[in-house]
Amino acid sequence: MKKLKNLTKQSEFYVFIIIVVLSIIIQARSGLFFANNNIVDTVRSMIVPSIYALCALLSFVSTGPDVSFPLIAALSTYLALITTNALGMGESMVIVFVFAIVYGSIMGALNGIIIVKYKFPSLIVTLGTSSIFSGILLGAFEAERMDLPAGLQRMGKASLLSVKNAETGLGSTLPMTFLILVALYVITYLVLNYTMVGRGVYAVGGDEVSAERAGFNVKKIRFGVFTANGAIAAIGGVCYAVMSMRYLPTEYAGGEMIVIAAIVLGGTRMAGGVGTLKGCILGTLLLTMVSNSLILIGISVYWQKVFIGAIIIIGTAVSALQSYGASRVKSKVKEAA
Amino acid sequence: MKKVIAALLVGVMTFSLVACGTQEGGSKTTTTEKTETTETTEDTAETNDATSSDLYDLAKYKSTKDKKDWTIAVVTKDNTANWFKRMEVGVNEFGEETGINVIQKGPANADAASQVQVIDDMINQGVDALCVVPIDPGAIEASLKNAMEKGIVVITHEASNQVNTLFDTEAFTAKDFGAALMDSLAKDMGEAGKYAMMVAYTTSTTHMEYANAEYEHQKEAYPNMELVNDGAIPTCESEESIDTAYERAKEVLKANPDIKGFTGVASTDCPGIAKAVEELGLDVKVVGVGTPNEFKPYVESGTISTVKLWDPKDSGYVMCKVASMILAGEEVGEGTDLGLDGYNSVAMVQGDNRCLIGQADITLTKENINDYDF
Repeated sequence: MKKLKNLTKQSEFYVFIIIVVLSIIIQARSGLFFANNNIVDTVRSMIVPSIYALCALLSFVSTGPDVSFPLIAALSTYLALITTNALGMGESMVIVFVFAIVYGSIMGALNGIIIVKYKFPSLIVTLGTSSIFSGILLGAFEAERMDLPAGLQRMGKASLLSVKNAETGLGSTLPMTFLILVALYVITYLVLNYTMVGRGVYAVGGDEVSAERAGFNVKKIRFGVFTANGAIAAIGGVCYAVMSMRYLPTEYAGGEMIVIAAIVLGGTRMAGGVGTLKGCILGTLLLTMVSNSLILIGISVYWQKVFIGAIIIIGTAVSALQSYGASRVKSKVKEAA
Repeated sequence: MKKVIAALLVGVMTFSLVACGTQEGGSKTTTTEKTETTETTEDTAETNDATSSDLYDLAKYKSTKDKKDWTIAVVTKDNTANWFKRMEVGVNEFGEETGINVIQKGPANADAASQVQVIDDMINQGVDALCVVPIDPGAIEASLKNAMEKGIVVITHEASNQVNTLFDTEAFTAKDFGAALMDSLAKDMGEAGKYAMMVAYTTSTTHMEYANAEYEHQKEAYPNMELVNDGAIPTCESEESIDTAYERAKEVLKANPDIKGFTGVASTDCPGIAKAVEELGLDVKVVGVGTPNEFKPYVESGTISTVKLWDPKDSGYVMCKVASMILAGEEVGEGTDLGLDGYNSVAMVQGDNRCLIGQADITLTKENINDYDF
């Protein structure tokens, strides 16, 4: 009983309920939602947004919004691809990831330095840097759509799991990038929950002064978070290229808002200090599911955006109300004391 | 006093609208009407060089500068796309031929707001002519009006409903092209069965015109074919992204596994649709608009059965040509020769704007796709 009560206090729980209700509605109207190929398709669509969601989560929990990850992804993927091509190491897929991570970390570190050293709001800094990265990518390098090196192409063609719907005969495959997603979440989970640094990320975001007095190095932690964000974004960027089997420079930008909406849906507090990986996944699942199922249930193109907007507002309202309730309880306790 | 001027302005504007509205086709009469209205305006209020009737008077845009000092800026939807790279070839060709400075710029992201910014930048840089391929014509009206008020020649492409433009240039009418797309699709899918349509955005005017024209033509000529979702146009949006096109196409195919044909009118649509079709292992004919090189693998494997297009190289050239003719004070209208095949005698249609239309569509299939390299 107590467990259930605890459960209802989490906003993740409400997101989960919304997901269940929606999936039942979609299933009832289309009869296709729980088909094996549709489930695999949904998971496939979630891969890149979920990786980005990690960046958004880490930055919100520790400091504030980071909106530069799509462009870090785009630029570091591009740089990694041209470096590997220039060095003639296109056969190996690991090399591309390594280069991308290096480039991404450098760009993330740039964010980190400006935010930590000058104490600028992260939103402004990352807006600025993403504009710079976009300029470098499309202006200085004049990046264009290009084919991937052999290693990545092999990775894109390989599949982890292949299903075929017995009824409709339609197939679907789960790409290898799914493994990368799982690995990133496991690593992040372990770091956040079982290391001092991980606890520090939450502490710094919750209350900077207290965290400092408790012995956390606020500056180092924030710098580290943004550098890690750069690396994670770069991995996401390469995954996106692998999944579309091409490098498409202009398709990265603009992905940040839906990702931020997803993690806020999942209970991450925009003021910092609160947010879970579980919420990240659930929020991303909800938005992916909604945007990928509206055609299945026959909602017209014009109404789809209204629908997605409504889900974001309703979902966020639920978790906001719930956390508002929690803070009221807290202040009552304070008054009593 | 101000009120009187305002009332007069309204009167003049209405008159010019009526005058333009009744002048379908005849370009010469339109010009005379225009000069008349211009005179009226000048008589009634000297201060207003910004009334709409004034803005469309070509004579106003004649440049006093030397031809070598002209700068013509071409603003595209997305300069990284092969389509617009090909356009740049035509634009540069025009520049080399004539010695006029030409620049081609595209927004960093393929969205309307970023494009507005590029246009405003160009205006501030003081270009003499702006040739724009709008993402969303409505979103850039104010910027284009501002440009025209500053005496910059504004020419558009793929925007037959753009109001603030001197001329919109088209390779063909949307209606003819939509019908031609439908003819190809009908032929490839045996004139029977269900089909679906994809556009980039529902706000992309020409895409929607093609889609509507396709549907109209299908209802007239191919009664055994059926658009999914009870004829809702379009079936889905690709948002100018191959990955989104792939995901949406997959959904449409899942919801309607008996589909026999799919059309996509943005260059991002067909590769996405074809990828989905191949992955799902369906027999669906894909017909659409795009560039030969990007579509080649799918055309050769047979998933994309027919590609319809016009050559963006010619479109870029033609926009610059029209702009330069206006800057030089030459007459442009019905029957003007723009110096390229398919544009040797353009038709002029007066709708929301003056639209110059060529006869320049190309059909690509497995047999001839290797003849085109862009």
